Amino acid sequence: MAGRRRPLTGGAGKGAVTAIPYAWLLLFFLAPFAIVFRISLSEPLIAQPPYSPLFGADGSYQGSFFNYDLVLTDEIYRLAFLGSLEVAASSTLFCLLIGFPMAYGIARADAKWRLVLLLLVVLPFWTSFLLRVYAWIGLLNDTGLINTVLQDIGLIADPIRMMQTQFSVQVGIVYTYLPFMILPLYATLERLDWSLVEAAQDLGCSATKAFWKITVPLSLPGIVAGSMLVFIPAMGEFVIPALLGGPDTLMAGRILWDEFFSNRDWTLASTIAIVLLALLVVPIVIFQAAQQRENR
Amino acid sequence: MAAALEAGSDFTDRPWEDPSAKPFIEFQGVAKSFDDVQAVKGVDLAVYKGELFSLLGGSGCGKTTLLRMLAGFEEPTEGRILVDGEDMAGIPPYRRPCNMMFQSYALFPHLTVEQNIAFGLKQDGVPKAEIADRVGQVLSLVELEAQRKRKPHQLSGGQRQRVALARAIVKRPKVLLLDEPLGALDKRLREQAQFELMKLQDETGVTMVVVTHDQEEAMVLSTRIAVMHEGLIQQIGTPSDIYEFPANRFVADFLGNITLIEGTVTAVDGDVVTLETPEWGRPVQVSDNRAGHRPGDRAFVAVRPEKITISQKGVTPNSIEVGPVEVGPVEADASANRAAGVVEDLAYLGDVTLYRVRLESGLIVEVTRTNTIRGARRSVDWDSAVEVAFRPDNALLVAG
Amino acid sequence: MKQAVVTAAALVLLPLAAQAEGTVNMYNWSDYIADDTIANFEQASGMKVNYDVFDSNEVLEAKLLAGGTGYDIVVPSGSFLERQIQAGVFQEIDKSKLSNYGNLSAEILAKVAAHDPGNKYAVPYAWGTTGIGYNAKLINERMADAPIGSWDMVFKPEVVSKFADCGVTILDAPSEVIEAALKYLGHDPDTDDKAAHDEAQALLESVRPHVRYFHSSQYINDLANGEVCLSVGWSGDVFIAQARAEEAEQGVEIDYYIPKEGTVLWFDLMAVPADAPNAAGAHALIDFMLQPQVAADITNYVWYANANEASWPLVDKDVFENPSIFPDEATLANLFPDKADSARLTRTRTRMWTKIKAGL
Repeated sequence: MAGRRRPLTGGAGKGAVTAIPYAWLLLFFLAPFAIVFRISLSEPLIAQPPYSPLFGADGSYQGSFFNYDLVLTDEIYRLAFLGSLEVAASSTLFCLLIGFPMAYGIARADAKWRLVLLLLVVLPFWTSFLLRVYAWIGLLNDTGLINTVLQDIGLIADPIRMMQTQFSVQVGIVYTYLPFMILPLYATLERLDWSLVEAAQDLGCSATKAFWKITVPLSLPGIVAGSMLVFIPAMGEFVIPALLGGPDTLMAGRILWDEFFSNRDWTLASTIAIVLLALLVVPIVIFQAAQQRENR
Repeated sequence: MAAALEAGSDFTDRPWEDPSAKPFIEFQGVAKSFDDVQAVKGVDLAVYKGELFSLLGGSGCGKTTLLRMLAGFEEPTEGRILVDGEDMAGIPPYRRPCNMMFQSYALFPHLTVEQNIAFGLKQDGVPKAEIADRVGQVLSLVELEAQRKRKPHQLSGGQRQRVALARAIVKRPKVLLLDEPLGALDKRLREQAQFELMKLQDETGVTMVVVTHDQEEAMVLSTRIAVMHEGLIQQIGTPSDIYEFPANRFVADFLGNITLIEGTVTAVDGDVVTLETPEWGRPVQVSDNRAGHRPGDRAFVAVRPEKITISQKGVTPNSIEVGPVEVGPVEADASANRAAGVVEDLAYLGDVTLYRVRLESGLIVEVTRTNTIRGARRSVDWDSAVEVAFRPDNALLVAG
Repeated sequence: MKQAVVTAAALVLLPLAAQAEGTVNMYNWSDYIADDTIANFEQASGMKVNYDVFDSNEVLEAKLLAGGTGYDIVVPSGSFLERQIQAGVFQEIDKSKLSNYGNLSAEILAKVAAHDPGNKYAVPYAWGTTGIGYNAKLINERMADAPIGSWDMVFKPEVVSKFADCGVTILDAPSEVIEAALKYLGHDPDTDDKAAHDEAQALLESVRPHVRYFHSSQYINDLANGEVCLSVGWSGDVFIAQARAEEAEQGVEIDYYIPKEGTVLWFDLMAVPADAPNAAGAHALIDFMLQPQVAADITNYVWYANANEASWPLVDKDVFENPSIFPDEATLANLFPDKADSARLTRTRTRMWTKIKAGL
């Protein structure tokens, strides 16, 4: 039987290939998730590690959902989640409003310019994210570039308060996540058959109407993908509100930080993380459903 | 192809021959440049009401640009386009009395067959009941009632083509524009669709302008054809005009197979022109002097393969196969142009056999013979020494 | 607060430092040591030092509680150390190995004992106060008779409101700020009395509208740039701002004072984790730090007071005689340590703090 070739896709080979993503998920998502979930069932303790064991000395189960009770009923957490939701939703909207024309422009640009334009979109990734956020501080400060220029040309007498406001957080998030909106939008718009738009115009649509009736519905997968890519990380965003936000920027990421580091309450922090994850699963499910509808 | 020629010649209404007839669509000195490329270089063209007019040419000849200018997707850089007497300059596509069927069909993938067809009517604010009515009518016309709720990706190629057609005609445009309407169909479907298009044209009387690269399609469909090359119109005429009397070497070569024999005019006697041609080996006579050639001119003798006979040397022409002998016209004509050669290649095509004969000069002469007798054994075969001949009145003289 | 990101990574990755013989791993605050201290120790002892820095107690604590840090010396602040001792993170200091331990001021050791009874687990590294840094010019422009020297600057709405436009900031350190407010209101800073806390919350909420942000390091730069004019901050950090403002030569002048009503006296303390790979090396380095000249050099460099009484004569005059760095007896008497809170009090104070910050 020597020399019998087995097809690559058969038997153990196939099993090994499909096992890779599962192993990845198990190792880097499920295992950490299980640890975080396990901590969320404990009580905080001054110890190393700082939470109570799940099973008592006599082997009895000691976990409870009391942290969840607190997170779901206490006003502060509700407001923090709402704050995150609001910031994430409005950032997603702004990213869409800015990103769509940009993606559209790139997709319709001359083929020789497209690569350059795309490169410009991803170029900021080549510098550190923190550095770019710090750069915004330099722009938005009272003594920053924008205020200085406006004062120098006499447009304003006193600096406009931009740093440590909701505005600066919004600017930071929209700026940071804009490429994540543009890239999937570009991908769908680039594949879009422009003769469909011409057909719509031919059948009686003005350019604007054709845009709404054809371009937008057909770029929906890109819009949904881009929105998810902005919304999900923006929900849990911590660094941007911490650096650019004011004290009243109440967001889930900051509360989580406070619980973990200031309050050294790992159990409550874990609970917030789990609840945040649960909240994010909802839009992901919607996204999945949309994708499946698209494929059908 | 015979049927096509028949259809063309059967067309009795010939408005283009009537000087008092008013053209429905007019291109006047239309030119179009993209950056530094001149796609269309000054086109004058008149299409009459009820015509099925084809723009025929290879890729990059400017035919599609011409159609897109008519539809309103491009503006001419020079000249003007009139439809029903109205200048189309600056009028956006959605206000033109034209509807277009796109080469890719451009069916909206997110809408059903029905919604696709109703799309244009909805834009015009046609009442709901009427929309349903008209959509129903065209659906039955294109025989797609059963597929009305399907999405485009659930249809076959032929069904998609019919949806695209239905969507374009449901608005009852004055002009129907078709960009390679049959290009994506396989051969059988294409023939069926050709006749459907002609039927549609008969029934609705809509003026159609078709862009195609397929000369056979153009021949079958059209009342008239404009052959385009390098942004210019080479010839406008009925399919038989263009096939039988090509205006120049390009047109002759583009439509069907043809043998071109280069020569120098030595004598002109009324209609009969005699040429000296080393390619043929001996003087050739042609009964065609529409161009008014004079002795000394360089010209090409053009002969279609079916107008040439082939015979084994010393055997009666056209009786090559065993069986009853068909008496061709050539043998009776002593003036026929003859030359000797060797069969270099042959192709059995079913209805005809195509022979490629190499003359002593190296010129390849293409000859077809209709296979009128079933199962006849071929006596002319590869490397047979043969004689080819054509009558002077079956050849044309075209300029270089 | 970028450490959040870094910490996340640090908590996952095990320390890479290989424990070669004679290597000491020290984890100290950033900008907290003289240029040549480590080099001098390496030369004197022949040991190699991996010197690593953090800039928040919280980050240090998260690492210590997760365990297996690989560090031999860490430098938490008093209240954090207190809780970490309870959590069993540290090993006792073997004083027999510290020949220079006697250089330490008995008086300060007694105060440190509030966090570390019997001074069993920690050796004082430096100490300072939580006070007020301010831009004298901007304050003077807005209020010529500003109550400089008092908490009134921050805790009186009618005063602090005058500075809202030039920027008021408060440390994002719930325990310290709440304790200062309690003390200002005449309560025991360590009380867990609810009424007292309600009063403190009301006080902080009344000044909250005039506060631009709560942050524990951002104000250093902002004070120096003239971006803010009044900050509740840590003494040494304000001095850093002062030095940066001087270097920038933009005409910004920063000063610091210890509020007369009393404020937090804090200590940063060297401790050895229970799982330290090289406890002997740790003791050697601590003993080196206790040499009078070494301690004086550090103080001269970082402008934080030390607890090494033998080093004081070697400290630069303008540092030693600066009452904001080395307060006089009367001021010192009014300072209180930031005692660690119980878990319940921590939760109460953190939640109260979240509400205050968010302006709820």
